[in-house]
Amino acid sequence: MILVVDDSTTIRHQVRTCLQAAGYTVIEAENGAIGLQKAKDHPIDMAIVDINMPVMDGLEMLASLRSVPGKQGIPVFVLTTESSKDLVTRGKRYGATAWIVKPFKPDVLVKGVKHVLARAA
Amino acid sequence: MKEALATLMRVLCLPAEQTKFETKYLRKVNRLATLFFALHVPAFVAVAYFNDTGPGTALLLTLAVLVGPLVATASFRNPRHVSLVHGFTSMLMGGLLVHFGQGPVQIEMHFYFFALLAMLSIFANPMVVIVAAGTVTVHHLALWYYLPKSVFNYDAPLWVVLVHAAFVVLESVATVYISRSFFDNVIGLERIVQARTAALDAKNQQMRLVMDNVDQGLLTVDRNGVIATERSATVDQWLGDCSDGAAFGACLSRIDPRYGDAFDAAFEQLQDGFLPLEVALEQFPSKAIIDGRQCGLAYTPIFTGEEVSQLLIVVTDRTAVVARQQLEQEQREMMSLIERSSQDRVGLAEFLREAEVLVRTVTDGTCTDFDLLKRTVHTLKGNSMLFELGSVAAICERVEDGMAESGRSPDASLVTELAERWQRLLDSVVVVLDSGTRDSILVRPEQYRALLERALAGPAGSELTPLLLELRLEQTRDRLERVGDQASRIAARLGKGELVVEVEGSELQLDPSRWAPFWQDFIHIVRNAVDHGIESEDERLGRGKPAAGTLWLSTRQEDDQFVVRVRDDGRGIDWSRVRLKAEERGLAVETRADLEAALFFEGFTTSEQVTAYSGRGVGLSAVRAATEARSGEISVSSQLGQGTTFEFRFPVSQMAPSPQELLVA
Repeated sequence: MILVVDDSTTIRHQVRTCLQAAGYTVIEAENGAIGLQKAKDHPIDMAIVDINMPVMDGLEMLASLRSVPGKQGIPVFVLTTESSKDLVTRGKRYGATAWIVKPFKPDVLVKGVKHVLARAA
Repeated sequence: MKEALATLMRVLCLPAEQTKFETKYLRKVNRLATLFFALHVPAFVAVAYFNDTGPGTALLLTLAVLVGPLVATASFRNPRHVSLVHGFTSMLMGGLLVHFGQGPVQIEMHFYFFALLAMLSIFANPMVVIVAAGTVTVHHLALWYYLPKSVFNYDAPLWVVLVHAAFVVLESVATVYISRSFFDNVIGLERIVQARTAALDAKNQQMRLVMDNVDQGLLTVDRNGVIATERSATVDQWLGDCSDGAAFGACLSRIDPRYGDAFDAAFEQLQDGFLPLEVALEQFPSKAIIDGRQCGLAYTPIFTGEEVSQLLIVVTDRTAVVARQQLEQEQREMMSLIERSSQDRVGLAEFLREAEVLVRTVTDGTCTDFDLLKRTVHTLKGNSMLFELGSVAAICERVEDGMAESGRSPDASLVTELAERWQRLLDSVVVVLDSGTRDSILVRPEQYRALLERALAGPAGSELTPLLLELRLEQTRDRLERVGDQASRIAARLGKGELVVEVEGSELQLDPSRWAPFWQDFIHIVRNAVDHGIESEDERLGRGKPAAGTLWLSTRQEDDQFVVRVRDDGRGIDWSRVRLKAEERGLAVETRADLEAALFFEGFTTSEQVTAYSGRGVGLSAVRAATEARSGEISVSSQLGQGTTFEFRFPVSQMAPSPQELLVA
């Protein structure tokens, strides 16, 4: 089960469509706070999280997620329109597995997800 | 035979050119040889003394033979010539040894010749061996004939001399071969190296030529991101000086810190190796604007074994390609506009006029209302798509995404892009449409005829006035038919199949300039109906409905109210879902009116999916605003599975201005 957290319905829809097509179950959240709650409530295998979101941003959510028992090791992809060294460094500190630049190619995202889930297993 | 002789000469004669190494080597060996022969003087005197063959003569004769190498060393500039003299000298020395060695071991002294012949290969020159062999042959034969005692200690017959000669020939052949091979493979090695270096240089030169003239940036970076020395000249032209171990990320940062940042981040992620290689490569920046050039960046990993040791980066100037593609698209769009203008000139002119206002709202920088901006961009996108202006719609889409992502006003560069594209569109469309007619009033033949008839009948202001007024007005039927066409196009593009549009028009007339903004937002309702209301063909058949959906559009006058109605036979509004979403948004949900109001709330949407046409929750609030601006009211009635009806009620006075008002305007 993969949790997709993004305030943009378009992006959530895109991510969901391509992951579902690849056979994954997808749950969605529109901000970090809801995302964190859903991550706690559901047995998720992985999360794909946007950076800029209202209420609670992606990095904040990531940091909180890492302190939830049982959720420390879950792979997390960070979605971002503009990647920067600073962002990646911060992302890593908060425990991001990798980041994916928007707009992404669906097959590339699926490949990355497959790879990371295979490693996690 | 001739060929065999030529081959033999090629083996015997060295190439004329002498390398520095050979010269140096021969000088050294020549010095050693002279020293070696100088040592013969005391040795031969001793041999003469012990064999009682005249040490004094031995001293004189050996010194005399030694004069040869000494004079040669002093006067010959070519060390090969000195070597030849040494070959000659060696055999004379052999003669002296056999002569002064007359006694019990005189025959054994002949070993000297064979030993020396072999030693001469040290000169790496077959001719030295030939000279020596010639010398010893002549000398041996002559002495055997004139002074046999000097050569043999017995009466040797001629055939014994010939046996000696046979051994000399045999050894000479071998020594010549060794000398030549020694020359070719050791002494001439420098020549081989030189030749190979020259070939390599030539190859490098060609490579350099390619690198200096190719119009792409070709470079490799190592594990630290440092640019390698071998790179195309273009790299330094575009990115600035990249020598002295400059990192590619740093060079990109000089152009725009964002590029460098993005590259460094992607590079780090690539090295982390968490992601599969091709996924990691996708995260690298693929476009950059360098000195106004639209550049594409491509990355190819170079492996050492399993690991990526270097990255080949190709920077290509795509400005011309991008410009051409843009031009082609713009031309295609132009063609479709021309086609449209021949079908519906008024509709097109109206679209352009409306769109211009929208573009100005977005681009002139005076609008600070974020929601209004968002709505405007959204409307502009939708309208542009209806008129197949994909390039304008694409820019709007990017503006929308950017605004949604950042929560701030659109990016300045995008706004400029939009303004420029719009200007180009207007510039060319004006030519097509002839701008003069854009703000003029079209008179249909029957209207002209009616006017002419009344005018001929005599001055009758009260009769002419409504006719003149009518010229400015638009039949609502015309408008509804235009809306219907747009609905059909949307349905076709969304793959909804055929859409039946029923226009129940009346002879009502509206002032187009007053109502244009309303109709523009009204399209949102139609779009929603087609996109979300009308089900897919399969779904409809499953519900026992006809395959094609129907859209009813009507206008009518009821007492002092002007009524516009849109009805579809789609799936209807799921009020429970509206309630759920409204609660999430913290809106009132007590009464049905509350829920209706929620529908028109800014940014409200029940849709999980956004299409190019609808779903962002922007449209309905825009319609509400346009309705309220004309003192109108909206009501919705919808039954799940049956369809939805939107009704707009306006005071009749809103329909058109009075003639007096027109004169004032």
